[in-house]
Amino acid sequence: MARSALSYAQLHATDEQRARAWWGAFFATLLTLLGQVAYIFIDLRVHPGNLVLPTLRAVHAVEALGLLALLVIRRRTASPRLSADVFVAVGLPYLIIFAVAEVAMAASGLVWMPLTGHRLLMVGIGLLAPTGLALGLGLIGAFALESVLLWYGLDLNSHLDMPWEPWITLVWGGTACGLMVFRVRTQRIEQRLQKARAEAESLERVARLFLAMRDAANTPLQSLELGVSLLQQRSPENAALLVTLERALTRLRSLTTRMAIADPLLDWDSHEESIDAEEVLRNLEESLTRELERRRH
Amino acid sequence: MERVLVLEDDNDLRALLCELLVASGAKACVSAGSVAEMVGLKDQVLGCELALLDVNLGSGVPSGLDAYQWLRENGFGGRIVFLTGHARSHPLVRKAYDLTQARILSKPVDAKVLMALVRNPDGSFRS
Repeated sequence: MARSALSYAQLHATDEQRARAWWGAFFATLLTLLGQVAYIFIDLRVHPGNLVLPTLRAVHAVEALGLLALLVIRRRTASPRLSADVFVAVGLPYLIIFAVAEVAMAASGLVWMPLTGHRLLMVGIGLLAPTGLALGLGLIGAFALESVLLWYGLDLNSHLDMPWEPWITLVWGGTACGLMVFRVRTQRIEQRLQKARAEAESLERVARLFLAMRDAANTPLQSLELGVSLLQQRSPENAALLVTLERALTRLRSLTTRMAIADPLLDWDSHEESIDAEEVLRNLEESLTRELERRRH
Repeated sequence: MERVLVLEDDNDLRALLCELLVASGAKACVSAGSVAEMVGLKDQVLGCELALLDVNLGSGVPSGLDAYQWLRENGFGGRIVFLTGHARSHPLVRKAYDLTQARILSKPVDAKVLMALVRNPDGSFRS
């Protein structure tokens, strides 16, 4: 019973992990799709005649649309791994697009805030990445590294009077890493609590079952006890047979007494004052049937 | 020992209890399967010197504790013993334990203990 309770808890933890990973990948992909479509029109205004950047964004938007469709189709069955793969697939193209965009902005002579995309994306990763620490930290690290390479590679430090860069971008990266670590730790605590709760509920179900069985057995057991006692008085010639029955009764009594071990686990509600053992057993049977049905599908 | 009252919802156990108690020396056994039935036998019930009350008389019906209240309110002066198959943590059983004037026996009770209730008016059990 304890083993099946553990499997139950693990099953639910997996369901939750799957759902969390799916929603993270879904939001990241949806925001990418919307953002890139918007930036196609912005880039056409900012860099007229330069089709490289809008084309890259369009390709990225199409990729995001395809991945979004995949996620929607696989909504019920998507594994955490698939969601993580989608997250990486939708995130990595930003490395190229951001590099091209920063180069284009540096060449345009316009006033702009460099590395804004990197900062926003790193925080986005911290908030939405499927909660595998390595994946999130790896992606944040990649964007932080690229921001430093672009800053010095494009010689932005000599063109722009921004002594705080690229350090402020790295601070954003550190903050994103902190968010990621916080989310992973919170999720682990939630999973531990959920597992403990599932085990406690399972043990209480066992205790309730023991109690129902004991209650249902005690009255007929009492009848047998009295019947044997009466027979001992009235039929002393069957003493050997009655001793056998007495031994069987003792074993049954011992069994019902041992079932009392789970009593302290029970949390009685006021409406349960008149416990009906048959009803408890019937409810338990229904719960087991539902669980079996759930596992079949 | 004159008369004993047995309040138990299980027909077989009720019959066996009465049979055992009479065999142990009780003059008569007044038996009832519910509080309503017990109330219907008021005169005979109040003439008993010992009452054996099952705590749980079924789901959604008055319990042995209700029977206890009725007996005390109607001047029953005999001893009252509760029988229960429930855990000690059960709310009804906890309430029964709070009643200092009643004794509680957990099913299955050894037949000798029940016989001693009739044979020894103080309820002491000597094997």
